[in-house]
Amino acid sequence: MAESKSLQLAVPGLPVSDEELVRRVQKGNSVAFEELVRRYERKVYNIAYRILGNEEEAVEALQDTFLRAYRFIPRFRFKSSFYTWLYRIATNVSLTRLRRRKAQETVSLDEPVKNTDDLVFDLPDTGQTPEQAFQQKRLREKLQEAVKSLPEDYRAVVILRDIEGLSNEEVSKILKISIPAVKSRLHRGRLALREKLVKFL
Amino acid sequence: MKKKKKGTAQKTCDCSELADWIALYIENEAPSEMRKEIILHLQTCRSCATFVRTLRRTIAYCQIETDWDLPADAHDRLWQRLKDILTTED
Repeated sequence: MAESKSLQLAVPGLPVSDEELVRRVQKGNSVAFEELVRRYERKVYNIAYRILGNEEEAVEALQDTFLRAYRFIPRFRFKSSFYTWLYRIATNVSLTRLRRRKAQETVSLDEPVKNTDDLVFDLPDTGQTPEQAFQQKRLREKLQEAVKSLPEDYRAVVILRDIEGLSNEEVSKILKISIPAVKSRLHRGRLALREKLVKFL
Repeated sequence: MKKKKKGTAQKTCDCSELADWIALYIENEAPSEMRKEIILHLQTCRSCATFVRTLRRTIAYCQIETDWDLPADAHDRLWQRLKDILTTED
C-alpha cells in the first residue's frame, strides 16, 4: 500500500463521502479502500465479536469481511449505503462461521467473556463511584454473555438494531428479511435478554 | 380488569392483553387508546410494571453499549492480508 498517496478531497476541508470513496475504488484507487477500512474496521470487528463471542474468530471475520468487500466492490451499485452493504457482508461472514462452529461443536460454550479489566480505566470520568463502575463493568460482561447465548436469529437483530443502532429498514436489508420479521425477532430477542439480565437490572 | 376513577369508567387492559401489545407499546407504535389502557394497567399491576421497567432497562443497556476496541494486533493482521491484494492491483 502506498502510504505516500493521499486522498484528493472532493471539497477541501470536508471528508470524502463513503460513496465517493467507493467510486474511486471502482476506478482502481486502492488508497480509497484503505480509507474505507479505517472508517469501518472497528464497527465490523464489533459486529463479528458480538455475533461470534470470540475475539480470535472475530479478528478472522474482520479480515474475511474486507477481503470479500474488496473483491465485490466493483459490483456495488449504490442501491444502499456502503455501510449497510458492508455490515451485510460482516454479518454473513460471522453467521457462517458461527454455523460452522456449531456443526463442529469443538469450541467450548463456556468460553470466558472478553476481559474488560482495562476498560474501566479507559472510560472517561463519569463521576461514578468505584462501586458504580464495578457494577457497570459487571453488567457489560453479563450483557455480552447474554447476547452470545441468544438464538442466532435473534442475536443478529438485537446486535444490529439495539446495540449498533441501525434502523428496522437497514436491518431488514442487511439480513434480507421483512421489516415485520425484524420487529418480531427484535422483540423476542429483547424478551430473552431481559430474562437473562433481570437480576442485574 | 376495570377501574373507576372520578366516577368515570376507564377501560384498562389485562395482563394477557399487555403481553400482546407490549412490543408496539415499547416502540411507541401502539394505538393511542391501547396505549392509555396499558398505562392505566401499569399503574395498578405491580408485576407488569416491573416487567415493562426491566424490559426498558434491557433495551437501554443495549443502546448505551459502546464499541469494544480492536485487539492489539487485529489492525496489523488485517493490513497484512490486505496489503498483498492492494499492492498487486495498484
